[in-house]
Amino acid sequence: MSRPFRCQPIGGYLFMACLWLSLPVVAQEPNYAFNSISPDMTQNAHSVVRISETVYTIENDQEATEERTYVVTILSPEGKFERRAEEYENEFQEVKYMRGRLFDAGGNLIRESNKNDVRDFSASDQQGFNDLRVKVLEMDYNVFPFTIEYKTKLVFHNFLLARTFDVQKLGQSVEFASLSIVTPNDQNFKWKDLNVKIQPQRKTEGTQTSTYWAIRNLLAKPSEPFVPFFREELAQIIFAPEFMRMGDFSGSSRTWNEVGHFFYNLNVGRDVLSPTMAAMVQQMTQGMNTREKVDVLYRYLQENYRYVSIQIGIGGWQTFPASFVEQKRYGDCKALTNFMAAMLSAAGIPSYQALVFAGRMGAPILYEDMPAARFNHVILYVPSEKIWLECTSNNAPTGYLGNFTAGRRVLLLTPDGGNLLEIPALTEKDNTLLTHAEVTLSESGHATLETSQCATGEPHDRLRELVTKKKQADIERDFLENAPFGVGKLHTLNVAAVEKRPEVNTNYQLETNNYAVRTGKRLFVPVFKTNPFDRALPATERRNLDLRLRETYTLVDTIHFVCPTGFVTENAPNPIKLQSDYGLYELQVDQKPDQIWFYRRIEIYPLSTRAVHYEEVRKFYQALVKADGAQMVLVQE
Amino acid sequence: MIILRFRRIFLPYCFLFCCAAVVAQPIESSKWGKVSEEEVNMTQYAPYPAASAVVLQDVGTTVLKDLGDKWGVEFDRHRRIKIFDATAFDQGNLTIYYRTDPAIEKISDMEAQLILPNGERLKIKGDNIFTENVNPAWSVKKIFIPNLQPGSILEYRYHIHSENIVTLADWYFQSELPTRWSEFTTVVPIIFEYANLINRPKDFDLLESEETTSLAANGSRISAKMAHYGLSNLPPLKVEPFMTTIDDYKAHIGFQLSTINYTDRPTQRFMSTWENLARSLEGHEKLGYQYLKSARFEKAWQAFVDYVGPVSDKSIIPASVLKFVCSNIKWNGEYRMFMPETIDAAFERRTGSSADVNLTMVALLRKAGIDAVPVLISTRSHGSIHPQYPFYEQFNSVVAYIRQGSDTGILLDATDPFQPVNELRDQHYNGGGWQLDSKNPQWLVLHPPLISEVWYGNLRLFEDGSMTGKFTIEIEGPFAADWRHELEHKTPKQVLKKRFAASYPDVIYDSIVVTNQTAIVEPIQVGFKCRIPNTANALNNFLYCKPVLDFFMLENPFKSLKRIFPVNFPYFHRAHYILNLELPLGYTLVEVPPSEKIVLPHDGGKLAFSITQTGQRQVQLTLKMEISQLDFMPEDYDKLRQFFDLMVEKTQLQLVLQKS
Repeated sequence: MSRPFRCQPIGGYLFMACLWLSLPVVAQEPNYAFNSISPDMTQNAHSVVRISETVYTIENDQEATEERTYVVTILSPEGKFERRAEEYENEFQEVKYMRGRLFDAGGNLIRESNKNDVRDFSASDQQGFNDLRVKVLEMDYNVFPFTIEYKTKLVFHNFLLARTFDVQKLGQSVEFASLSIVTPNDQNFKWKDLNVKIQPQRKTEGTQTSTYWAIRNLLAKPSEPFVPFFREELAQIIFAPEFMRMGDFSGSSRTWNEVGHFFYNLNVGRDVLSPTMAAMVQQMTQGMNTREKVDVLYRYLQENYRYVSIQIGIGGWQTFPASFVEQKRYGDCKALTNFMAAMLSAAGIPSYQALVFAGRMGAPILYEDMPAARFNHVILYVPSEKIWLECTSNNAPTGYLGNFTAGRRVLLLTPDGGNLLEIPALTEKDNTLLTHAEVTLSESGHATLETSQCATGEPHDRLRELVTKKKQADIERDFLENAPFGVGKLHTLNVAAVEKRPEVNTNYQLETNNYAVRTGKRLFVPVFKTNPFDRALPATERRNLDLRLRETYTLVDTIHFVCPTGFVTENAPNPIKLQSDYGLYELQVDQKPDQIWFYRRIEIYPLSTRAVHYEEVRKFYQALVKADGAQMVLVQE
Repeated sequence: MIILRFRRIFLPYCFLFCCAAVVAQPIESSKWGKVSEEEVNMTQYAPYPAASAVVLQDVGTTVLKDLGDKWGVEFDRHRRIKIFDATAFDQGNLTIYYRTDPAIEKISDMEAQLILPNGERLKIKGDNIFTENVNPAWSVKKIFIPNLQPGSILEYRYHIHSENIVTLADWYFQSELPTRWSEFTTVVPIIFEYANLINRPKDFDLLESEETTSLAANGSRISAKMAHYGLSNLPPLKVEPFMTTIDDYKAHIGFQLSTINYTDRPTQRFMSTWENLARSLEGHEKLGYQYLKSARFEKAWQAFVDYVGPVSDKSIIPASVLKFVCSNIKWNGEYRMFMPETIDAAFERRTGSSADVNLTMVALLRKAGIDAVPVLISTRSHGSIHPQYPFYEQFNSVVAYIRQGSDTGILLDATDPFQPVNELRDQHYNGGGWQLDSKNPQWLVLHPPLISEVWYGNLRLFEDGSMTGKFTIEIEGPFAADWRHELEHKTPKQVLKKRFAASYPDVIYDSIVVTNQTAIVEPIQVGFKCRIPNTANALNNFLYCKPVLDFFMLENPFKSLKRIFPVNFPYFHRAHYILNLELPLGYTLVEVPPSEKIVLPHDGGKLAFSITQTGQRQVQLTLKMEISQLDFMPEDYDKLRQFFDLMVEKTQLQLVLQKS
C-alpha cells in the first residue's frame, strides 16, 4: 500500500530510571567476566547489559550530542542482534565515532575495532532515494558467552526533536543503565517515564543543567510472541525538548497543539497548484457534491501519480511543493498527500494532513501529556465528510485505510495547531470472509469445487493488491501457490475488486488432486479444507507478558458436499457452538443420504489481556481448531 | 561417506560454444527516439498478452578501445520499454549499477526520454536523477521517470567506461519482463581472443561476425572483429522453488579474455590452461600464499599443535583440523575465495568467511603432512560453473580437499561446527569444484550427501484418541546439523516442543534421550516417551486415527501446473516412517488399506506405503520415500508433482477402528 517516510532518528538507545544513584559507575579496570554476573540475571536472558550510559547534551539551540557506552554480554545465539551497533547519518546527524572492543567469557580483551570495521551503506530502498547512510559495526565471536563494549558519539546539527531511550529489550537483563540529559539552563524539556516512577536528580552547574536517571539490576523478561507493539510494558523514557529545531525551522513542543503548529508551518504555502491544474480540478468536479468531488479527485490521484520516495535532508520531513508532484506525477507520502490537499482545496474542500506512525504491527502510544513526535507517515483527513485518505495507495477505495494506519492516534495539522485524533480500528464486522462452496466428490477423493467468496476489510487487502496490480496469468499463479489444496485443473478463476468498497469477490471452478483421502472403502473428507481455522498459541509453562492479538474477523461459510454414487455418510461432525469473550464458533449441519450441508460462523475478537488469561485463550483457540478440523467419513456401500 | 569420482561435470542448463553464423528472424533495432507508430499504438504484446510492459528493444555494444598505454572497455546500452498500464509504473524507477571498487567504472552520457501516447516527447531532466553510493564497491544511478502514463514508451541510454578487459560485463537478453528484441555487439581488436559463455533457450536469431577496423590511439586503424548476437521474443522469467540463481536461467552471454596476441611482443595468455591458472592463484597474495607460506599461520599452527597434542594416528587429523578450525574461527556467513588478511589475523579475529575458515584448514593439514588442496567453488546463488574455461572469476568460494589416491578423497568445510567430514554447506553443492593444484588441477564432482530421516514408533492408541509410547527420530546428513544447532542452546524438550508445536501442541514428553549429539559423524537420534492427545477422533462406535505424525513434507511444494525450468534439489533424500501401533482394547481394524508403490521416471525416486496387521491388536505402518536424483527435467514435472501429491496424501491417511 504505502511505505513509511523516515521521521524519528532510528535506533534503540538506552536509558532508564529507578533507583537513583549518587555516583555514576566508575570502573578503572572494567570486569566483564561472565562469572561476575549474578546467576538470577541470566534467567530468561539471551544477553545481559553490563553498562549502558548515555549522555545527551543540548549544547545550544543548534547543536546536540549523544555519547554512549554500551557493554553487553551475549549469552546465546538468540542475543546475536546485540553484536551489531548501527547508527544513521545525514545532514542533521553525524556519527563522530563508533568503537568496539570484544572480550571473551573470562573478560579478556580479544580485539579492538579499527576504522575499517565500520561499514558504510546507503539506507535508501531500491525503489526510492534518500541521503541517509547507515554505519554498522559488528563484533562477532565464536564462543558464547562473550562481551562487547561499544562507544559511540553522535552530533546533531540544527536538529532538536523528541527521542526515546529504551533501557531493556525482551530477553535481556540490565546490570546498570543511566541517562543524563544536559541542557542549557533556559532550555526546558518534557519527559515521561513508562512503567517506572522515580524522579531523576537535577543539578545545575553554571549555564548547564543536568538531569540524571539510573537503575541497577533489572531482571530479564522472557522474549514471548504476541506482545504489545513497541514494548509498551518495558521501562522507557521519552524525551522532548521544548525548543524544537529542524534546519531553519524552529518551534515548540510544550503541547501537542504547538507540535502541530511546527509541522504545519514546515509545509505551509507548499500546496499551490498551477492555474492550469486548478482549472482542471474545477472542471473535473463541476456540479458534484463534496463526496463525489473527493471520489473523483482521489481516483484521479491514484490513476495518474505513483509513489516514489525521494527524501533528502529536510525533505525527510518537509513535502515537495504541489507543483513538483504536478509536473513529475510522482511523490512520496508527504508530497502526494500535500498534492491531494491542494486539489481538494482547489475544489473548495478543506482537508488536513495528519501525522501517523504507520505499520501493520501497530504504533507507539501518543500520550496527551507527552508531546513527542513519533511518526513515520502522513495521511489526509477531510473533516466535512469525516473520511481519511491514504494517498500513497493506487487502489484503496475512498476512505479506506486498512490496518496500516487505522486503529491508532494521529496528530492532525491545522492552521490553529495540532489536534490528537483517534482513527477507529477495523472490527470483526469490517473484516469478513463469506464463502459458498459446492464440492462434488469423486470416488478417488478428488473433488470438483465451485466456490464464490466475498472478502471485505483486512482479508480483502491482499486480494485487491493482487487484482489491481496483476494480470490474469499472475493472479492464477498466485491462486495456485496459496490454495490450501493441490489444484489439478483450474477451469475458471475470476477475482474482482469492488471499486467503492473494500470488497473483493472471487469465483472459481476447479478440480483438486486430493481433497479427500481415500482409504479402502472409505473417503475421509475434511470439511473446511478451503478455509480452515488455524489460529494457535504456543503452549507455555508460564506466560509472563500481557497478550495482544490485534487480528479480528468474521468467517461465514456454507459448504455443500455431493457424495460419489454408492457412498453414504458413516460419520459427520455434529453441530456445535463455542462462545467466549475471545470469539464464537458455530457449526450447523444438514443431511440427506447423498448430500450434506455445513454452515459455519466464526467470530474472532481482538485481544488485549493479562498474561494470566493466556492459557484460557489458548485453550479456546484449540477447541476451535479441533471443532473445525472435524471430518466427514463416507463409506462405499 | 560420499564417494567422489571424477567424471564429466553435469551442467544444469544448455551451454554452447558459439560457432558459425545462423540467421533466423532478427528484428532491426531502431535508433534513439525513432519510435514506430506501431510501438506508440501498441496495447499489448501479443506473445505474452498478460504482460503489463514489454522490453521493445535492448541494444548493447562493447568496444575495446586503444587508449595508448592501456585498453578501455566502452559499453553502450540503449533500452526501450513499452508500459501498457499503471501496474508497470515501477519500471519508471530505473537503476543503473556500476562498480567503484576494486575496478572503477565511469558512467556518462546518460539520457532518458519518455514518449507519451499522444506522441509527445519529454526529455528527462537532471533533477530526476540521483547518485547513490550503495556501499564501497557499488554505486547506482537512479532515474525516476516523471509523467508516466499508461501507453508510454520510455527509453534510456548510457555509457560505461571500464578498464577491466579480462571479464567483460555479461549481457542478459532476458529479464522479468518479456523481451521483444535484445541484441549485443562486440568490437574487439583481433589481437584479443575471448572465450564466450553462452546460455540461451533457443538458437540466436542474429549471429553474425565481420571484420572491421578500429581506431588506435596513434590514429592508425587496427583490425578488429565485430560480432552480433540477437534474440527475439523471450518470455519473462520468475523465480520458482528449487532453482539455483535465476541468472543461470536467463539467456545471456559472457566474455572471458583468453589471450592477447601482440604483434610486437610475446603472446600474453590470460586463460591458457588450468595449470597456468593454478600457478597464478598459488602465487596469489590472498589465496595461495595463505597456505603455502607458513609465516602466515604460525600462531594458528602452534594453537593447533597445543590442541591436538602428540599424534600417533594420522587418520584423526582431518577431523581434528575441522573441529579445531570450527571452534576457533566462526563462519561469518560470507562466501569468499580470497582472504584479505593472513590466516593468523583471521585466527585472532575469531570470525571469517568461507575462505578464512577453509584455507586455514588447508594450511594446517599441509603443515601436518597431509596432501590437502583448496577446491574452488561457485555457490548456488553465484551461478553455474564453466569447466571448459580456466578463469577464476567463475568461482566465489572455497572448501578443503584431502586427496587419497587418484579418485577418492575427503572434503572439509568449516562453515558449520556440526557439519562432519565430507559434508559441505548446501550453497557449495553446485555441480562441481576445481582442485587448485598447478601440478594436477582437476575437476571434482561434488555429490551432495543424503538426508535421511527415520521415525520409529511403538505406540498404543487409546479410546480417547490419544497415543502413548516410545518414539525415536534418527536424522542423518545436513538436517542433523539443524537439530544439533537447536540442541546447543536449548533442552531436548524445548526443541521437541518447538518442532511439533504447530501440529501437536500438547504432547507430553518424558525420558528424552539424545544419542550422538556431539558425535557429528553419526546420525543423531532423539528417543522419547510421549503422550499425544488428539491423534484420533471418536465418533459413535468408530475411532478414526491419523497414524503418520510427522514426515519429510506435509505439503506439496510444487504448486504450479507447469514448469519451464528443471527442478534442482540440493540434496538426496530418504525418509522412513515406521509405526507399530497397538489398538485399544475392544477395537478392531475395519479394513486394511492396500499397499502402494510408485517410482519416478529414470528411477529418480520411489515411494512405498504399506499397512499390515501383525497381531490381533497390532498394526504396522511403513511409509518410505526416496529421492535419488537431483535434477528433474520439465517433462518429468507432472510425475514429480504427482509423486509429492501421493506422499502428502499418505501422510494424511487414516485408520478406521470399530468397537466390537
